Amino acid sequence: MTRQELLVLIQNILADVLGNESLQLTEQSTAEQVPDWDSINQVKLLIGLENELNFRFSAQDVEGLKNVGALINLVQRKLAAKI
Amino acid sequence: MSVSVIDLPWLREAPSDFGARCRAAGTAQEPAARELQFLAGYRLTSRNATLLARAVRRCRADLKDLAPLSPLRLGVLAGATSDLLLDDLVAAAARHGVALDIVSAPYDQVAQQAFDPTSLINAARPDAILVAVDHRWLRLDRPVLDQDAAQNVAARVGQLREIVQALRTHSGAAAILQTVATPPTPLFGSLDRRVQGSVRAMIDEANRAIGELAEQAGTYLLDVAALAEHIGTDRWFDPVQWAAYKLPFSADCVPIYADHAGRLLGAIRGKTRFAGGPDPEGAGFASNITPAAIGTWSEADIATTLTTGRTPELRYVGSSMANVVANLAMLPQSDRDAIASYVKSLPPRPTPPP
Repeated sequence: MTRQELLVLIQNILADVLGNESLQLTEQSTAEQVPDWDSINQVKLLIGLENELNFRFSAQDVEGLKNVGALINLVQRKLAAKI
Repeated sequence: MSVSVIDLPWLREAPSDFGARCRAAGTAQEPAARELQFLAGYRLTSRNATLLARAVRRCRADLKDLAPLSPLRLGVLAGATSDLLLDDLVAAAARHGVALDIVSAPYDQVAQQAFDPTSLINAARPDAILVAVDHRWLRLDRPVLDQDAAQNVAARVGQLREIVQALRTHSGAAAILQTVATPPTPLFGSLDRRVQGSVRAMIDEANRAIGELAEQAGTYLLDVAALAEHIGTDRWFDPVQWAAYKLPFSADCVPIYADHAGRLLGAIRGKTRFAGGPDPEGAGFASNITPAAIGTWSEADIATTLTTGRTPELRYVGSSMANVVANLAMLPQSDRDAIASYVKSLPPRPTPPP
């Protein structure tokens, strides 16, 4: 998947989780900038990605993700490891 | 292709416009509850459950008439992360005829919430309180080989008993206890069955005691251990998700767990008793035997079916019911007549969505 496709997927999942249909993310977006993007909703987002893309994050994977771009980097690494 | 119960294979796949329909629920002429229950009848991912739960909450906030869904306020006390279960519980409860309103305690506040009369859970005056604790909370996750294992189990279940009593005293609500799934990681292999202090042996004893506690205290019981065995405990437990998110069991199992809990909540509200459901012995769907489905049958018709397997529509019962009839046919006629009389006396209840 391209970075743009992953950005749209992350945005769609998070929009459902937060109930915010007008949510717009960029690779620079952070949890602090998005209302209600707390730790529980972060877990819901990560599990949503796991379900959509059929892999598992480890505890180490998800520590210290700085922004959406870092999450896209991580997802691309997980997808490459599946091949 | 193998089909697993974890995928809720008896439910229809959710349509692509599921999200849009959730957002529209309660805004059209059609009664909100009917649409919500219809949407709940789909096979829902947790993401879809979140959309539906939000629709239920919105309809309640807008004071929409949610009948015939029965309102039920559920307190949730959990020894691990329960936030991810809540939307799935609301969705599954709607599937089984219940409009669920959840009050959830903060992470791992089971005892504090139970014993404080003014706690969030007690003050909410819920109709029932789910006490969702597992082997880790009960401290049955490590073998006890240097002291009395039976005493250890008794102490832990004793604490559970005190919590149940405190909740009853302070909130007036009955608890929903859970049995405990056994992790698939033996210490001594087959010897675990024989060593009193092994995790497996202690959990076996704890589950027996929890069942006894439920009987004595008049609480409800959700048999999580049986569900985890059915699915396979290797799949039920996910050590990575425990380490990463403190999820008590795999996120993949949340929809089936919620469906079982929703079924219990429906039964508490008397919404689904005798109204049919997935056959617990395997594939298939047990028939509704209330007048909603067999209202035209007479007592004599029912008694004949219990004797010969033949229905008034001149069909024959199959699946596990055929075995039931084979056994009932050996009873005295007066017993079959009594069963027929009882079945005929049941109130009509709609069949829950398959």
